[in-house]
Amino acid sequence: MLSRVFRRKSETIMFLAGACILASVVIIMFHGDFLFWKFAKFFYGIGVLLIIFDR
Amino acid sequence: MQWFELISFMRQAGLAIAGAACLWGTVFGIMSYRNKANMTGSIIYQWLARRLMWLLYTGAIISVVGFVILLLLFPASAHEGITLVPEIAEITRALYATAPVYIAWLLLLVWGFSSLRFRTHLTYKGWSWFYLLNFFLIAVLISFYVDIEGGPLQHVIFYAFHGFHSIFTLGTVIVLDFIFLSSKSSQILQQHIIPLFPKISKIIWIGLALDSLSVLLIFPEAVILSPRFFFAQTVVGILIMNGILLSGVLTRRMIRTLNKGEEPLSGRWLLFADIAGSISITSWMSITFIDFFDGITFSYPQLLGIYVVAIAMVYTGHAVWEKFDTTSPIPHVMVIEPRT
Repeated sequence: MLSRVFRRKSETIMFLAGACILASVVIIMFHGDFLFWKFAKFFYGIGVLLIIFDR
Repeated sequence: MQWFELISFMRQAGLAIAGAACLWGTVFGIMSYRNKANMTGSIIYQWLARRLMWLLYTGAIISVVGFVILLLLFPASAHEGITLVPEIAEITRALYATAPVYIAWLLLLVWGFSSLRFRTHLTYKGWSWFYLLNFFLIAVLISFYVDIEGGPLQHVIFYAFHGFHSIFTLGTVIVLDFIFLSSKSSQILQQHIIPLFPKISKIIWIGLALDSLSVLLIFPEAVILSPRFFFAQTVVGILIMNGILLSGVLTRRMIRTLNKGEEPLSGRWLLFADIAGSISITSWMSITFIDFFDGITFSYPQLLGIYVVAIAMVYTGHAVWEKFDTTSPIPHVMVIEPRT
């Protein structure tokens, strides 16, 4: 199912990055911890690099 | 919430729309020139470049009116929920410093509008140069909105990226939406325009990356855990997930339909496309808007409620546009000068 929606690795990584940012909002709200948020931003950076070099 | 925050947002949004119209006007002009062998493609790209003139002048009017009001009175600013809040004096200095650039830009716009050559049979080369010149001036105006004399270099870079990325993000999303709506009435337009969407999306992703990079320069000193921050981060998460579905699976499905002559998109796909487009445009507008309101007092649920209502309004606006848009999909007369 997922492979039908996301044909490229970059799409999967970007979608996960978006989901991680949403999850990090809850974590920051209740624990004030930015680690997951930084992880999401890192994921986003990798996703953008992959998208730039996608054909 | 103060009135000058609204005017600052107006100026930024106007510059972003005008800047993106110029960026893509230049690109379509070049594509028209490079596709001369394919007459239909060349004409369509030139038509697109010409059509973006509407967005350039609309954005210009909004931003110039905002600039004049700010110059006469005064401002404040911000983004992504994480930002430095500049001093009024820093913004006022930047307003005065950029006044000559605004005058040069206005002269260029007036010349473009009044020139018969521009209005009737401008060539692909001419469009590109006109847009390119406009783009450089707008890039200066949107990047240099705060003058921190002798301030740290990372703050200077932060403000420059923070301002400039709106051309790649908010402005480009509006251009994308505009050309998508313009192409809905014609299959031949869609065949040339929809395959460009993944490439245009790359620029939007790069724009968001520029903003994220700029945020890293001021992290954690500028983080304030307010409803504004949580709302902006929520919207960023939504727009990334929505954007990847829009530029991925949805665009692929549309291209397949157009290329292979498969059955047209079902009502469910069309609904998905309209909702995703509305979420995209509302999200970019929201995070740009909210960052201009430093003292916003709404709670997180209230902000989310307003965001959902705004998506519904944009969706309704799309539906109204489609119902009443009577634009001729292909220009009746298009002059393409032979290569000399």
